[in-house]
Amino acid sequence: MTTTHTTTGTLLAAGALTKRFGPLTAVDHVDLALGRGVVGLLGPNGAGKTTLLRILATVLAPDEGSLSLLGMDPARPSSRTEIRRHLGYLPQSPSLYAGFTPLEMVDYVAILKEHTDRDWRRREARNVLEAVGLGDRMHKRIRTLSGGMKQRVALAAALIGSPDLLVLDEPATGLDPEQRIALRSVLAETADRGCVVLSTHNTAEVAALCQHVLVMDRGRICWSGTPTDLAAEAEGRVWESDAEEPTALRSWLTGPGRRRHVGALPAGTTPAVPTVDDGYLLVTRLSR
Amino acid sequence: MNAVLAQALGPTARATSWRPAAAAAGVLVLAALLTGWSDRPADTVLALAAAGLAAVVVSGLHDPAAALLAPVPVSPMQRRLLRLGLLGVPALLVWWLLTALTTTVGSSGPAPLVALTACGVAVTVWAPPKRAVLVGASTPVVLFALQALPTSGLVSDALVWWRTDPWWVLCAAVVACVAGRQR
Repeated sequence: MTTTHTTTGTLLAAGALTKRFGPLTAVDHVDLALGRGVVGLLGPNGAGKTTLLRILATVLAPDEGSLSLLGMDPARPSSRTEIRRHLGYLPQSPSLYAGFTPLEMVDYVAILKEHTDRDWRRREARNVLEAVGLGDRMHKRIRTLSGGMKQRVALAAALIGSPDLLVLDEPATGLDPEQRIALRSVLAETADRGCVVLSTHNTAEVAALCQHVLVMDRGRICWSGTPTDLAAEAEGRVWESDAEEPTALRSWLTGPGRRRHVGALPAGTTPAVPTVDDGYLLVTRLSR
Repeated sequence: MNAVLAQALGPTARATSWRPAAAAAGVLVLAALLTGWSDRPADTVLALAAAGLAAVVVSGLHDPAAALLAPVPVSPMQRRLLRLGLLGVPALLVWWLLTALTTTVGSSGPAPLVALTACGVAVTVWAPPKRAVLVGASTPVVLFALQALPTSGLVSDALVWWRTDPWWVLCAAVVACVAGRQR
């Protein structure tokens, strides 16, 4: 069982959450307790991250287990609707209406989030588009925007209405470094008042963005803690050399002829300073 | 909720793909005109029109932004109904235009069109999400094509229920839709 507490006040609680697709168990008895803050979900492809996020976003119902979002049970239709009024969701590779402008797209999502005050909605749509750096593109057709800009339109749509629970599936995909930094600011603001759960493959992103990290593998949460804790997992278990190390759990090239290894440190070897990458690689390997 | 749906009507209409509907309507009107000029009964043309228009209406349920909109408070069923309303009204107008342009031996009411549309929607609701609209939109065309199968007995009767007993088919499809309203 893995329980993760961020700051005070649980906004999201899951017990033995399980989701199966035929013979495949995509999410396998996951336990969570999350409060305010940004929580990063790390894991290899096929680990079950997207399925878990879809469950947390009320898009998918779990087969087993309990789930409470913002203190409500999403299995009850009336509660689910109420949760959705306070929820923002960015799916993986979201599609948008190509003929809409970003302002129209975000405004449409706001309507479907039951914001019926037209003036408030337009003002809020402008604000979130400014926040994601699309202030100067909000009247262009979406079909004319780059992939990164479309991603930011979808992010703006997720942010509309200041959600208390924000579920983001690989939000940094397609963003350049400058946009990634802007994303951090936006998410930090949301995390001040609510819970942000995001998945990513980028460990640097996790270190910069998240107060907490969950490492997922084969449907299970195999590790949880802070990014610093994750790096510390590899303390004394990471080293560099010019040769292959048969005793290492994982080895990879870091430069011409230079290799980095995680695993049991060979005698007489000086350990390297561990990173979040090292910790993640070690944890996912040890979980298997 | 009514205010939400009323405000969503305009953008939903803009987000809906109208070209397939316009193309199908054009072809069917042309077919009806040709049948009318030849002074032949248009029952087959109207049956084809019911299947074609129903397929077009159901295909309008395809929403490119469905993944992004999945967790909004306005449920998928409410959004489907909005799109069905938007596409269904013009489909009925086209139907009445077709019946005005042709002469038929049997009934020329829109019941078969409504029944086939409801069948398509029910299949869309229950089919696996990734191909739901494709499967649902194919349903009216498949039901139309199945009439031609050399069957007998109950199967033969059942394959034309959408023409002979459309309101019962509609009822069954509506029950299936209501049962799947949370999907």
